[in-house]
Amino acid sequence: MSACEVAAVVDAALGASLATGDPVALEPYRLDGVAPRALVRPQTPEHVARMLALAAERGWAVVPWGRGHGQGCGDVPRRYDVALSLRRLDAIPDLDADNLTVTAEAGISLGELTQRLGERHLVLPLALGDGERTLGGLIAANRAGCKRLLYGDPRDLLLGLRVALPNGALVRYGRKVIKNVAGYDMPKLYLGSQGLLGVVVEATFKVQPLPDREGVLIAGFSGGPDAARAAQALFRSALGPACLMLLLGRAVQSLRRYPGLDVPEGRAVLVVAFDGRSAAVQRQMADAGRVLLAQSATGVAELPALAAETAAMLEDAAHGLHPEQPRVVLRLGVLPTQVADAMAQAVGTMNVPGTSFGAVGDYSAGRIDLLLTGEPHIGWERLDGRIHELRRAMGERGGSVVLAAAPRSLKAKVGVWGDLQGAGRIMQRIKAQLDPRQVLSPGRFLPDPAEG
Amino acid sequence: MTAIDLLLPAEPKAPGTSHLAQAWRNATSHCIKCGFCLPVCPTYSVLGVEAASPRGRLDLMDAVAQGRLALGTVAGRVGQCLGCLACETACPAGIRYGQMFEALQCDMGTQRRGWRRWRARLLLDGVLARPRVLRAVVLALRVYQRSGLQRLLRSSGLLRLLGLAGREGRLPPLPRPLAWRAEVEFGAPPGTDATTTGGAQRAALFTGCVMDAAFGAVHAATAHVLAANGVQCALPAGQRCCGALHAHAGETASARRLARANIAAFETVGDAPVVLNSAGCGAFMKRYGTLLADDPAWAPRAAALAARVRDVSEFLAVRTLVPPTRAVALRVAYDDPCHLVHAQGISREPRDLLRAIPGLTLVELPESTWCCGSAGSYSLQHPELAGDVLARKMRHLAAARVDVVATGNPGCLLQLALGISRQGLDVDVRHPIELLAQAYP
Amino acid sequence: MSKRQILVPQLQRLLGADAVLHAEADRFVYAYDASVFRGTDVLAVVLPANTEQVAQVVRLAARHDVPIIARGAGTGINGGAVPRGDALVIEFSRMNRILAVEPDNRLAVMEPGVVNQDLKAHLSALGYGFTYVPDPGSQVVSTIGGNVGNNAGGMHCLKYGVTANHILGLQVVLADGEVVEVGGGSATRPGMDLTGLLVGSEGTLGVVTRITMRILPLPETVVTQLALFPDVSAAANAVSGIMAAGILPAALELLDRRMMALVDRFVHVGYPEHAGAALIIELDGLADGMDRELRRVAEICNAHAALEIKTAQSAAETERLWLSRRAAYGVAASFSPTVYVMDCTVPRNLLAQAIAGVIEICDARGLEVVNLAHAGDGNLHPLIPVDRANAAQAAAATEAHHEIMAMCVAMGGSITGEHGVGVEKQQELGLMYDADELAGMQAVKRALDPDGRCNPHKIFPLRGNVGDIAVGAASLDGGRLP
Repeated sequence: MSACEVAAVVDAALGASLATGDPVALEPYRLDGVAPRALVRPQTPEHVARMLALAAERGWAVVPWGRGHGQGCGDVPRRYDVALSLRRLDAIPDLDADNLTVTAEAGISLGELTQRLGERHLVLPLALGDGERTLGGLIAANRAGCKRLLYGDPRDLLLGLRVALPNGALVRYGRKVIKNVAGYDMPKLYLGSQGLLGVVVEATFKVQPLPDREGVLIAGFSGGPDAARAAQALFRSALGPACLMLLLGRAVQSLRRYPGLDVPEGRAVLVVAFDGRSAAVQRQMADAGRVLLAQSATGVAELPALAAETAAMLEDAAHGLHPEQPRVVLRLGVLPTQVADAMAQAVGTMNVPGTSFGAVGDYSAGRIDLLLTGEPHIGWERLDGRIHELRRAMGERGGSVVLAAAPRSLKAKVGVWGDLQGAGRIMQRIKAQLDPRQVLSPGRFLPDPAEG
Repeated sequence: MTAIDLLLPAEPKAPGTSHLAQAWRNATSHCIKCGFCLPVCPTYSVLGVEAASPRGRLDLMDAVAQGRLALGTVAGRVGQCLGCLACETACPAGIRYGQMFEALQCDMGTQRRGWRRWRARLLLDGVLARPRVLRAVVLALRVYQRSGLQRLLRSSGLLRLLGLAGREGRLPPLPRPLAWRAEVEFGAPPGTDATTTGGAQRAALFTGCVMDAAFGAVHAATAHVLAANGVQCALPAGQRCCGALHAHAGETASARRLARANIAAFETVGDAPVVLNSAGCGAFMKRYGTLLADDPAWAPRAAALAARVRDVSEFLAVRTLVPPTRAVALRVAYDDPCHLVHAQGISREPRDLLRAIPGLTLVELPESTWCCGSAGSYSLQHPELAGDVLARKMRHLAAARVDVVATGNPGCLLQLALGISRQGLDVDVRHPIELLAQAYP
Repeated sequence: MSKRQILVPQLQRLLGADAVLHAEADRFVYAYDASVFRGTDVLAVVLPANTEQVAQVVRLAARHDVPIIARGAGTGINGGAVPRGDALVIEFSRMNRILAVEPDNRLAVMEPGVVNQDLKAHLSALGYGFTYVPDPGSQVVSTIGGNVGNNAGGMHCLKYGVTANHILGLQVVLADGEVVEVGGGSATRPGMDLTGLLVGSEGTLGVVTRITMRILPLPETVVTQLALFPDVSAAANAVSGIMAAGILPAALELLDRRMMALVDRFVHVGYPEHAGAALIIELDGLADGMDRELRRVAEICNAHAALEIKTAQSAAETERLWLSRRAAYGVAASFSPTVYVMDCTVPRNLLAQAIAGVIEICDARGLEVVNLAHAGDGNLHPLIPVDRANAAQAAAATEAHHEIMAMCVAMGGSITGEHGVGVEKQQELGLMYDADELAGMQAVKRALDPDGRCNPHKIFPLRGNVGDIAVGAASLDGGRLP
C-alpha cells in the first residue's frame, strides 16, 4: 500500500482529513533515516484511539510524536508506518487553581502550559526551561526538572492520564486528587514508557503556587571532585536546595557565554537554587554560600532567579551546546555519591581525538548527561567498545548508561538502552499484554518478543 | 449519653457456660484487630507468629468462647502468654485481655485431671495457703542450701510452681523465716476505730506468702521507710497468701477462700491503707471485688478492701516524702514489673522514689515495661521462650552499665537474678524500697 | 492426600520445621486482618528468612498451583491480607533487617518485615538527622512491606506525598519464582516506573522482598497548632484558603464535633464543646519566615470564623495533639462493637461539600457518623459505628458506604485514598473504572502473574456472582467471605 493509500484509509476510517502521505510533510518525521508512510494529525482523543484501532487491524506500526525532542532516544525502528502527531491536542480542559491541579492535553508545549499557569500564579515545576517540549513527551521520557530536589519527579506530581490503548480503547486512569490507591497506579507505568504502551492524550498534574522568592548561587571549582564534594555537603544538610547541578567541559563554557552571568573561575561549576519564603531563601543563600566557599569554591556568584535558558540547559544539556548539536549524548544513572567518579570515568572513557565533551550532572537524581560534539577521527561507530566498557563499569555500581542520541551506525552496534535485566523482562511482558500486535513503536525501546 | 453509647454490644451471645464464654459475654468491647498490641508483646517479638500475639490469642479465645474451636486446640498457643498485660496498656479500644486470659486459665484448671490436679492443689492449698507449712518448706530449703541436699528438693513441686526449678541453686541465701520481724518495731495494732489520731498516719502491711518467707528484708525495708515517714505500720494477724497463683491456675475456690481470710484480717485495722511491696499481690487484691462479686455476703467487703490496697510506691507518692539524707551512690536501672505498670498503671511512682535518693543515678532501661519472662511457672513450661525474653532484657541491662537493677515483685527479682547470673553480669537486684530504706539512717 | 499434607513436608525441608505453621490454631488466626472481614482457612503459613527462601516457596507454590499471600502486620482495613481459598501465607516477621542506611545518598535499604516505627527509631538513634516520612496511623505496628503493598498514606502526605513517593526501588519475587530488581537508589533509570506500579498493587503482582527507600533530613523547625471552628465547612474553607495562599503545611488534619468529643475522653486535649470542627495544622521547615507564615495562617483561619487558635508550646503538647488524632480509630472502636472505617478522596476544595454529603447519606439511613479527614489531601475517613448483630444496621452501613463512594467518584474523586481496594471495594472499583480501563489493569496483572496466584480474588470486581460477593453486605453481617 502506498503512502497516499495509507493516508486515504486513515481519513476514511477517522471520518476527517487528518492524514497525509506527502513526502515533504513526512521528512521531519524520519527516525534514523526511516520515513513513515503517513503522517496523521488527530484533532481529538477519539481520533487517536480510532487511529490505533485501525493500525491494530491493519498491522501498521505507529510512532507517537510531540515535537520530536526526545525521539533521538530510541533504537532504529523495526517497522514504521504512521507518524502520529499530537500537536493539535493542545488544550487545557481543566485548570483548577483551588485544587492546585491542571489537566492538559498531551500536545501542549510546556512553554504554553507554563505561561497559562503563571497567569494564575501557579507553576508545574517539571520543566522550567525548555518551552518547546510537549507534555506528552515529558511523560514518555519521564524527565525530571532541574528543581526536582524540592518539587519531585514526574512520578511525584502526575495524578492522572487519559490514554488511547493500542487496542483502540480510550481510558482514563487516576483522578484530580492527590491520594488515590484505587487499583493499579497505571499513570506511573506510562512514565518513561517511551510511547510503547499507549498514546497519552491528556494528563493531570499537581501544580504549585509560585514561590515567594527564588535565589541562585553559581560556584566555580577547580575540578569535578571539588564541586561534587560541595554538592554532597549541601545534599546532606537540612538547607533544602531545589537544584544541585554540576557542569563540566563545554557546558561550563556555554554557561559563561550567557550574557549577565558572572560565572566564577574553574573547570567545574555547581549551580544551586533555592525557592520558598523570602526570609528562608535569604538565609539559605547565605548559609549555602558559606558552605560552598568552605568547600574550596573559587568564587560564588548570586543571581535572583534561574533564567529560563539556564534552566533549559540544566534540564537538557544539549541546549547548552547550541547551535552546535551534539552527535552523541550518553545519559548515566548512578547514586549521588557516585556522581563525581562516574562523571570522571565517563569523560575519561569517551575522550577520543576529534571530539570535545560537555557534561551536566543532576546531583540528587544521580543523572549525568555527557555530550560529545565534533567528529572522531576513528568514526562514531568505533566507539562501541568504549560504550560497552562504560556500561560494564556503571553496571557494576548498579548504574545505567543510555545512548540518548547517536548516529544510526553507533546505535545499531550498541543499542540505546543497555541491559535492563529483570526489569526489562517485566516491561516486555507488560508490552506484550497491552500491545500484543506491536502497534506502537516496534523495536524502538524493548526487544519485540514476537519479532525476535 | 451520646448516640454511640446506644450502639454498645449486641453481638450474638454464645450459649456456653465456661468461664471463657462468660468473660466473652461480659466484655464491653471486642478486638478490632488493629494490631497495636503486637509490638509490645514479648512472645510475639520473639516468635513473630500471629498466634503468639495478643490479637491472635484473643481471636483464639473468642473462637473457643463461641464454640468454634476446642479448648485443646488453642491451649498451647494461649499458654505461651506471659500474662504481662502489656497489650492492655497498648490497646486503644480498651479490650480487657487479662479477663479473657484468666477465664481460659480457669477453664483449663477445671479440665485438669488426675495427679496433675492433685499436685497443683497440694502445692497451692497445702503449702502456699498455709503460712506455717510454707515456713517449714523455706526452713527446709535453708537446710538444703546449706547442706546441699540437692536431690531432695530438685524436683520439688513448689519450685516448679514458683518457676524456680533448675535455678534454686541461684536463690538468694534464704533468711530464717520471720527473722525480719524481729528487726522491725510495729506500732500497736490500731483498733477497729477508723479515725486516726493527731497527724500520725496508719497503714497495714500485707506480707504475702513468698515475700514473707523469702524476701523478709523487703518487708523490713518497707516498715523502715514507712516509719521514717511517720507512718505507723500494723501487721494484722490472720493474713494469708493473696490467692493470685491459685486463680491463675484455675483454682478459683481456693483463691476466694484466701481472699475472704485476708479481707477479714485487714478489717481488724479499720480503713487503714493496705500497703504491699509485691506487684503481683497488689494487682490481684485490687480485684478482690470482682473475684467475690457474686457472693452477696462478701462482695461489698471485698470491694472495700480492694479500694484500700496500695503498692508501697503508690502509697508514698501521694505524701510528701521525708527527704532521705544518706547518699546511695549507685547507678540504678528500674525495671517495671508487669503487674505494676500494666495491671495497676504504676510506673512513675517507683521512679520518683528512686530519684529522691541522694547520690543515686536513675538510668532509663530500654523496654523497661517489657516482661522479664518470670510470669509464675512460665519458664518451666516454655524454657526457651522465657530464656529468649530474659536474654533480651539482659542485653538492655548489660548496655545500661548499672550497679543495681530495681524491681518491685518477687518473681521479677528472682528472674532478673537468674538472668544476671546466666550472663555473668555484675549487677545487684534489689527492690526499690530497699534502696530507699538504705537512704534513711 | 490433601494439598496441605503434600506441601507441608516440602516446605519444612526448604525452610526448617519451625518456619512452617500448619496447626489449626496457627492457621486460624491468619484468616483476618484489621478489616471487618474474615477469610477462609489457609493451607499453611511460612516464615522465610531471606529472599532465596521466598523464591523457593513461590516456586513450590507455582508447581502445585497454590496461591500465595504476602502479609505484613495484618493492619490493613480493606481485607487485602484476608485469604480467599486455599492459600499459602508468607509472613515476613523474620525478614525484618535494616540492611543499609546511607544519608549521603538519602536512602535506606531494608527487608519488608521492618516495622515503620522501628525504622524511624533506628534512624533517630543513628543520629544522622534523617528520617523516613510516611506515617500511616498504624505506624507503630505496620510493616514497610505492608505500607508498600497498600501505598500507605498518613498525616504528612500533603507536603511529603504518600509511600510511593518515598520508594526508590524494590526487589520482587515474581509469581514464577524469578527474583527481579526494579528501580533503585538512583532516580535515573531507563524505562517505565515499575516501582511506582508495584507500590500499592496489594501483593497481586509479586512478592516484595527488599525495599530501597528515600530518607530525608529532619526539618529544622516544626510548629503544631490547633484551630477550632464553628463548623466543618468553616474549617474546610480555611484549608482551601491556606492552600490558595501558597502555604504548604506539613499536615492539615480535620476532626468533627463528634470525633472531638470521643477522643477528648481518652486524650485530654480539652476540645471545647462549642467547637464544631478542629484543624490540626503543622508547619515545618526552616525557622526563617516561619513567624510570618504562622501569622498568615492565623489570618486565614480568623477570616473563616476560627473560634480559637492554639500553638503547642511543648513536645508533650504536640504529642498530645497528635495522639488525639491517631487514637481516633481505636477510641471510636471502644464505643461500638465494630467501626466501619471508610476512606475516599475528593478534589480538596470540595471537602466541605463531601462531608456534608456523607452526613446526609448517613442521616437518611439513621446511621451515626464521625468524621476525620486528611483535609489538605481531600481525604475523608467517615467512621460509622455498627453493630453487626443488627442486620438491618449492617446493611444500611454497607449501602451508605457504596453511596458515599459513588458520591466521591461523581465529584471527581476516588474510592480510596490510602487504604486500598482489597476485598472491601472490589465492586466500587467499577464505579471509577469501566470495562476497558479494568481490562488495561488486568493486562498488567496477566503480564506479571499470568496464572493469578498472587493474592487472588482481590482488587478487581468479581464477575458473575456479584450477589454472593457483595463484599459489604454479606461480610459486615457475618464478617465471612465466600
